[in-house]
Amino acid sequence: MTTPGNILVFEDHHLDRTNPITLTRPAFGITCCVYTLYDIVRMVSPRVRYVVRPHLEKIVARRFPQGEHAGGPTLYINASLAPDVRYVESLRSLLARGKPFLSTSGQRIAAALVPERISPPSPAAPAGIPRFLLESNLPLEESEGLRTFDYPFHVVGAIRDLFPANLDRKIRDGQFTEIRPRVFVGRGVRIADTAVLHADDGPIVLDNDVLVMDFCYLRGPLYVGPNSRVIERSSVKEFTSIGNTCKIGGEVEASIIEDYTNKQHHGFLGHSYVGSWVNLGAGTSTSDLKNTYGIVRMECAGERIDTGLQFMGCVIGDFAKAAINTSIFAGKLIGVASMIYGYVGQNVPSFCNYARSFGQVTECPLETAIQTQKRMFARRNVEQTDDDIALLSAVFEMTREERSISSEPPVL
Amino acid sequence: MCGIFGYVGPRANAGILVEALRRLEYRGYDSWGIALAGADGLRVQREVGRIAEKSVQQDGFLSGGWWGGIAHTRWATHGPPTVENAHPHLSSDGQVAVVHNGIIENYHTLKRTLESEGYRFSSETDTEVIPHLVHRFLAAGLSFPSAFLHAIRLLEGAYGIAAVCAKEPGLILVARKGSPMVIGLGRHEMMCASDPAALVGHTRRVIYLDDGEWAALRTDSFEAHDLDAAPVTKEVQEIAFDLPAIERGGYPHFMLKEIFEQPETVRNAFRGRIVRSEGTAKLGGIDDKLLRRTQRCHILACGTSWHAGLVGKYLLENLARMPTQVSYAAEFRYANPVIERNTLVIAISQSGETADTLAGVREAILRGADAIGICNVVGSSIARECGQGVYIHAGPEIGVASTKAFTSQLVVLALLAIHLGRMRGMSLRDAIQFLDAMERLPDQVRQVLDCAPLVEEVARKYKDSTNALYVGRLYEYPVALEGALKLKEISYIHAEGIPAAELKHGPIALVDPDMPTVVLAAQQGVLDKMKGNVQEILARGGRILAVAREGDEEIPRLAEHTLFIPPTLDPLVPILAVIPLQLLAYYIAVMRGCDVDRPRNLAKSVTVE
Repeated sequence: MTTPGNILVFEDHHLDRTNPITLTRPAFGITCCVYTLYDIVRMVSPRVRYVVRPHLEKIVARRFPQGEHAGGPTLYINASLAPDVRYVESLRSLLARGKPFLSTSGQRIAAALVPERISPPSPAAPAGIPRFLLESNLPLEESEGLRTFDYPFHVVGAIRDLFPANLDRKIRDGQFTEIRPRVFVGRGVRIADTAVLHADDGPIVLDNDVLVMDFCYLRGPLYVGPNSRVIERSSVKEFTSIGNTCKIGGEVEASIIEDYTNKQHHGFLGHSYVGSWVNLGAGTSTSDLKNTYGIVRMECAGERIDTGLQFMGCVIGDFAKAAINTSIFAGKLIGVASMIYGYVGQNVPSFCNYARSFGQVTECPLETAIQTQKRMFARRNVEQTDDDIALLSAVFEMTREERSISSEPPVL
Repeated sequence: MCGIFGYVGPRANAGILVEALRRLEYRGYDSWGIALAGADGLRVQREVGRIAEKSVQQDGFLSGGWWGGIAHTRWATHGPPTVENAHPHLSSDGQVAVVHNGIIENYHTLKRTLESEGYRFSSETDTEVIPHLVHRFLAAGLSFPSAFLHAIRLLEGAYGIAAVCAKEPGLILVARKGSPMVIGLGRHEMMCASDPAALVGHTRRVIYLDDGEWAALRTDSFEAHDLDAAPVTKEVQEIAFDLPAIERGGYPHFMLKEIFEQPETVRNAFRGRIVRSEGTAKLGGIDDKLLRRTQRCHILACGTSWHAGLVGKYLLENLARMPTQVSYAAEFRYANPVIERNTLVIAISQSGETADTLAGVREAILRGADAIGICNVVGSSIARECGQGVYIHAGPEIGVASTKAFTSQLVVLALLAIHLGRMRGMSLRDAIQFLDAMERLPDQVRQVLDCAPLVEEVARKYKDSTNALYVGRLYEYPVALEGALKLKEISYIHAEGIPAAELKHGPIALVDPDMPTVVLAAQQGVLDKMKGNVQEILARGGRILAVAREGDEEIPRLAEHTLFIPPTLDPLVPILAVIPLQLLAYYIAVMRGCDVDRPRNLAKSVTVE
C-alpha cells in the first residue's frame, strides 16, 4: 500500500464574505449535511495539516487534530471547499496522480498539488498561501469541478445537492442498525411509540443516544447527531442535519444546526444555518420565502447579492440568542453572540442587543457574552477555557467596526 | 527610453557631455543633467527642457581638470519632468552619481527599505534607489565596484546604468539589463552610451554590453563581468558613421524602427503591472476607490487612440462587465454629452497634448465625471488634467503614423480591464489565463515581425491599388479601422475599415477585382462567421488578403494571401493582428515613394482643435 499523501487545508483572504459563520470557526469546520470539510479530507488522507487565521489557532487544535506530513507532494485544499463526499475520490486520485496543478473556483483557488521541491512560505499565513500557489506557476487544471462556499447562503443552497451522497456515506461508515426500511439508528437510541418516521423519500439516521419523544414527525432524508433530543410534537423534515447534543422542537426543514444548539419550542426554522451554542426561544420563527415568491437577496460583506434561491431562511452565528417570539425575515444574517428580540428585518452585527421593535440596538458587552457562554457551557458539562474567552474577545474586537457601520448603529 | 552618456579620459568637461546629449536629443527628451568628477568631488547640473550649450553656466564646467563624467537626457516615466527628477541622482553624501535608463520594478520595496534605514529621497524617480543602495554598501566597507554589483543584484526590471564615485577617480561603472548600453573605446579615453549616436565623432570601435553584464571603464582599460563577478570576454565591433541611420537604429524610417520596437514596448507596458500572486493587474496611478465607485466608462480619444478605445470598450465590457461608451473627443465635447453619476472618463492620447481630447476631458470633468488618462508622455497636459492615469511607457514615438503607442495602449487597456474585472467578479482562472497570455505577447510580437519579408512581398502585389477595404468582427473591427487608417495616412490610398457583418448592408457593392479586401480572421470566437463573410466577398470576385491564426487551414485556402499570427486569447488578438497591417502600410508607402515619417498634411501630435 502506498503512503497516504500530504494535505494542507488553508484559509484564504475571502473569508469575510462567509461571516458570521466563519468568525468563530475555521471554514473547514462548517457542517453541511452531516460532514465538515475536515471530515472529508481525513477520508482522503490522515496526513492533514492546516493553516487558519491566528485568532482560531488555539481553539481549533482541540477539535481538529493535525497529522504529520511525510515526503512527497502536498495537496493544498481551500478550507472553504464544500464538504462533499463525492470529492473524496477525485481528491484522492489527484493526490495519487502526483501531477502538479492549480484548480480554481470562481475568484478563489480551490485546490493545488505542489511538488516537494517547491517549499511553502514559512511561517505560513492564510493570506500568504494563495499568493504562494499563484507564484508557483502551477498548470491550471482543465476541469473546474470543486466548488467553494463563498457566501453564507452557499451553505444553505448546497444542502439538497450534498445530502444524499453524504448521508449514504454516513450510513455506510457508521455502526447503525436498520430498524425499519431506511431508518438507521445508533447505540442507545430511543424512539417514542407515537413518533412517526417517514423514510420513503430518503433515509433517516439517528446517531447514538438520540431521543425522539412522543408525537414527533420525522421525514427523511434527515440526520440527527449523537446525544440530541427531538422534543415532543415536533416536525423535523427533509434535508435537515442536526449536530450533537442539540434540542430540537417545533418545525424544522432543510436546515443545518451545529452542535450544542437549542431550538426546543414551537416555531419554524427553514432553509437556514444555525451555529453552535445558539438558543432560539419559544415562538422564534424564520421566513424562508418572500411574499412575492421571488429570489431572496442578501447583504453580505457590504454587497447586495442575489442568492439565486427562492427558499432561503437566515444564517445565525455561534453563541447568538433569540428571545421568545422573535421573527427573522428571509435572508438575514445574525452575528456571533448577538441577542435578538422582536422583528428582525435587517442583518444584525455580532455582539448586539437587537431590539429594534422596542427602539434600540445596543452593543452587547463582551463580559455579558463571556458570562452567558460560561452559564450555557455549564449546563452541558463543558468547561469554559481561556481559549474560549480569548476567541470571544478577539471576535468582539474584529467586529467592532461592523457594529459602527451597520445600517442601525448600536448605541454604544 | 532615456539617453545616457559617460566619459572617462583627459578631455572630460561639460562640453563633451552636452554634445553627446545633443546627439541623443532627436528623440525629444524633456529634461537633462550632467555630473562631472574631479579632484574636488562631483559637480552636478540638472535642467528642464531642451539642451543648449549656453545652459552650462557653472564656473569651470567647460574647462579641464575633470577626470570624467556622466550625462543623461530624460524622457519621464516616474514623476514629471522637473529638476528634482532629472538625472544624475546622487547619494545623500553627494559621493555617488547615477544615471539610469529603464524601469526599476521593485523600487517601491527598495525605497521603503532604504527609508526605514534613514535614507531620504529627493525625487519621485525609481532611479534614486540606486545611488542610495550603492552608498549603503560603500558604508558597509565594500569597494565601489563591489558596492555597485551588490546594488544592481537587488534591482528587478530593466536598466542601463552608469555610475561614478568621487572616492574612485578615473572609474565609471556601467550595467545593462533590458536597456541598451554600448561602450566606446577611444584612444586613452573610454565612453559609454545608451545609443551609438552619442559616440559619433569620438570612436568607431564599440562593444555592446549584453543583459546581465556590467563593466568597469577606465581611461585605458575595460573589464566586463557577469552578475556573479566572473569576467566576460567581449568582442570589439566597428560602427558606421551614418548619423541619421544611427538615430533610426539602422532602420530606414522611424516608423519601421518603432514597429520593430514593439516586442520591447509591449513588455514595457505591462512590466511590473502583472501581479500573478493575486491573479490581477496593478495600476499604481489609479486610485482603487475611484474604480470601485465607477459604474460606467466613457472613452474619449481621436485617431489611432480612438481605435484603441474601441478595443478598450470590448475589453472592459467583456472582462469587467463595465458598460462602456467610446466617443471621438471632439464630437463628445460639442454634443452636449450626458454624464451620469459615477462615470469614469478614460482619455487616450499618445502625446497627452491632443487638443480635442484635452477639451473633451475638461468638458467631462466640468460635468462631474472622474477622469483618468492613458498617455505616453509623462506630465503632459492630459495626464495633468486627469490627475490619475496610466503611462504606456512606449518611449518617444517620432513617426507620425502611430504604431508602438497603439499596441501599448491596448496592453494598458487590457490591464485596466483585468484589474476592474477582478474587482467585479472575474474568475481567478480567467484572470490567470489572461495574464499568462499577456506575458507571452512580446515573443509573439517578435514572431509576427519575423514575417516582415513576407509582408513586403505581399505589399508589392497590392501597392498599385487605389482603394482597399479592411473588415473584421469584434476585437478585429477596430484593427480593421486602424489598418485602413495606417494605409491612408502614409500611402494616400483610400481605405475603409468596416465591421465584416456590415458588408452586406451596403459596402459589399464596392467589391470587385480591383478592390482588395483585408480580412481579419484570427479570432476563434467568430471564425465561422468570418468564413461566411469571406465567401460573400469571393462570390463577388473580390481579392482577399487575410490575417489568420497559425494552424488555420481553411482561411489560407480561400484567401489570395494569408499572413499568420500566433494563437492568443481573442481579446489580445488586436495586439498581434495590427502588426502585419502596420508593416503592409509601411511597405506600400515606401514602394509608392511616400515620405513615411512625415506624411503630407499631418502633424505628429494634433494640438489644435
